[in-house]
Amino acid sequence: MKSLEIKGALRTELGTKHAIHLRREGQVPCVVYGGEAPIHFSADTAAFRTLAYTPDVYAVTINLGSKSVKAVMMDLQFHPVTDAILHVDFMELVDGKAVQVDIPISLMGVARGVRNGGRMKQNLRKLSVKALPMNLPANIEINISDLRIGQSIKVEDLKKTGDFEFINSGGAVIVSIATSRKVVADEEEDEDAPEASSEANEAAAEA
Amino acid sequence: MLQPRKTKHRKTFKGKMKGISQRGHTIAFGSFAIKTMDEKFITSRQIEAARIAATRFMKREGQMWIRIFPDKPITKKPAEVRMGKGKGAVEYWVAPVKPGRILFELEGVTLDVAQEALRLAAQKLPVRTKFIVRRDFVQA
Repeated sequence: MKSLEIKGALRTELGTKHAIHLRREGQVPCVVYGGEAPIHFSADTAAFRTLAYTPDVYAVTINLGSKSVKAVMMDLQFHPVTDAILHVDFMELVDGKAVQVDIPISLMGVARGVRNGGRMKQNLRKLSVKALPMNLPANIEINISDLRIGQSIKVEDLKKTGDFEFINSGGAVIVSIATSRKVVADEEEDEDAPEASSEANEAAAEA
Repeated sequence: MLQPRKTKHRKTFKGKMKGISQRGHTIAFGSFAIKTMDEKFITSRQIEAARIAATRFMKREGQMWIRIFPDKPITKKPAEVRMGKGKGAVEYWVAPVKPGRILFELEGVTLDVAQEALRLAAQKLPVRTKFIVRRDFVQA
């Protein structure tokens, strides 16, 4: 997992009024939970440029002067109109305590169905993973090069590559290849099932 | 054109549009979207015109989601009719939108195509719009 350091300042005064003041000064109010007690702090907006606009999950070291906390980002709130970052939630990483984090999916290769003119549809971009902090994967790689038209990969089809478990429902479709108007016949597919294709041709001729 | 199949009440009050959008202001389906910067009634005709403009440019590639629905009936009295004698007949349907509301979302096209398709769509709308990209979008 990638790592990043953020410098922050502890917030002593909490609540909407003080949060608004902080935002006016270019700070983002944040909270870290999951440890002994929640820690409220603020950090500069620029510090979140790398963290907020990427699919990657970072192990963030929050430097609060007297102490530092290791955490992962859990939630981000944006302003509906200006899209400015309003608030950030972090989950503290405690050794020996499992955390649930959304890990990005990276698809490897070009699907066979796509090469034949099919249309790929990615339903899930992230998977919920529960693991100890040291076992959290950076991303989940899925090889889709053998995926044909009409086929799909579900969460239950994934092979376990590390010491973590998927929280998503096993039946949830991650990626599928749908047919489209551009579809061309798959040569290897025809060789696999010559009888089926000849029957189909006969049926078409009769029609 | 979009309009409800059935309604609880045939006609509604005008209502007020105050503040900014409290829901429907985040990208939920696609990678690209346009959001409104103004509050306005968007008619079903305008939504349909915008949809056609965008899909025509995309040439049947990709997928589009319409994130607003015109469920508010707007009534109008016929021309040269004296005031009174009740509220007019339903003339058309609108979707009231407040600043920040996502109007259309796109997926399955490149950033350049999405930008141009949504620009063409935005030209059909009575509001100022802003093009936005999913925060974790990575250009291939």
